[in-house]
Amino acid sequence: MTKILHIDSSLKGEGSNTRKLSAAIVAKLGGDVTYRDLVKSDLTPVNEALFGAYYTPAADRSAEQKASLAQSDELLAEIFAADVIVIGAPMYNFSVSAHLKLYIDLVARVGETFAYTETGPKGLLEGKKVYFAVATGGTPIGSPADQLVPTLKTIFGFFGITDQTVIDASEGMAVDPEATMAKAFATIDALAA
Amino acid sequence: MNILLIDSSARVETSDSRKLGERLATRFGEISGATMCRRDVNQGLHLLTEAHLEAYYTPADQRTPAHNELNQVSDVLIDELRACDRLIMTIPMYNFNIPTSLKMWQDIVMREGETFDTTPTGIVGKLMGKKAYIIITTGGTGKNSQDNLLEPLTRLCLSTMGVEDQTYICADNLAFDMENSLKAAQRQIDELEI
Repeated sequence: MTKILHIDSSLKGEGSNTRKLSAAIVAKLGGDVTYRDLVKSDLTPVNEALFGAYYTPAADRSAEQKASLAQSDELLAEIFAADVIVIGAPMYNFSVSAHLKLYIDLVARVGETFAYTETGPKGLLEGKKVYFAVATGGTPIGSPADQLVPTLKTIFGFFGITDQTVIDASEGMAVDPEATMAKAFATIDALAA
Repeated sequence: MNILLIDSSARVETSDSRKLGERLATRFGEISGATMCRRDVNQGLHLLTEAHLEAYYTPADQRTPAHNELNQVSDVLIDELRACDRLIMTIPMYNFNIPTSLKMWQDIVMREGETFDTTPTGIVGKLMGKKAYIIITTGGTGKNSQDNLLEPLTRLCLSTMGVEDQTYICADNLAFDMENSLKAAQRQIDELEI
C-alpha cells in the first residue's frame, strides 16, 4: 500500500481551503496515511545551536545536540517512510506560511535530505512524489507575485523530488471562490489514484 | 533621522550579514542627530495562530482587550517601521529563502489597514517616503540565480507596504569565495550615498 505523508500548514481550521484540497488529494490517492499538522506540532525554533547540531556528524553529537534534534529527526523519519507527500500550503504574503518555512528549515539537513558531492549538492529523496495543494486570495499561481510555488518546487527539487504536481485554487478566488475551488476539486478527481 | 536595523540571522557572533549591517549602521550613526533602533527578529516574535489573524482583521474600533493583547507584538514592530526613515535589513539565505524568523516578522507586520490598504484599484502601501537597504548573504547560491527566492520575496513585501526605494547589497557564494565576496559588499556599503 502506498505510504502517504499528509501535511497541512494553514492557520485556519475547518475553513481552510488548502486543508480541504490536501484532504481531497489524499482521499483520491488512497493509502496508508501519516498526518502532520504543522500548526499543532509545537515546532522547534531554529537557532545557532540547532544549525551546529545539523552540521555535526551523528557520531560526534553531544547528548544535548541529539535532544535538540529530536523533532527534526521525527519529521525526517516521516518523509523517509513516505512514497507520496501531500502538502496543503496557503499563500501568506506571497509565500509559504512561517510554519511551513520553519518545517523546511527543520528537514533541510545535510546528509539526510541532501548531500554535498564533488559535482555539487545532490538530493537524497529521489523516487518520491509530491503534491502541492495551494490556495491564494486571488493572486494567480505562476504570476510574478507567486513566490509560494517556486519556494516549494525549489526546495523539494533540491531534496531530489522532481515528480511534483501542483493543484491550485488561486486566480478567481477573490471573485468567485466556489467556482475556483470546484475547478481545483475537478482537477483532483481527474488524478490517477 | 531614525534608523531601524533589523537582523535575522540565527547566528550571532559569527554572522556575516550582521557584521555587514553593522558597517552600514555605523555610517548612518555618524550623521548628526541620527537615532538607531535595533530589532533582532530571532527574539520575542511568535508564530501566528488563527486568533491572531482574527485580531488583525478586526477594525480598531471593534477590538476587544483580547484582540489588543494578540496585536501587541505586531503593534510594536509596526510602530518601529513607521518611526524609521531608513531601514537596514540583514538577511542570510537559508534554503534559498529568508530565515523563518524574518518570515514570522513579515507575517506579523503585513497588516491590512496598518501597513497597507486594499483599494478597488489594488493594494496601496502606507509606509511612504522611507529608504530600505537590504544586505543579503548566501552560501552557495548566486545572486542572479533563479534559486534566489529571498530577493523577490523581500521586494514584494517591502513594496506592498509602500517602501519602494530599495537598495540591495549581496555578498553571495560565501562558501566558495568568502574573502572577495565580503570585500565587494564592504566596498559597496562604504561607497553608498546615504
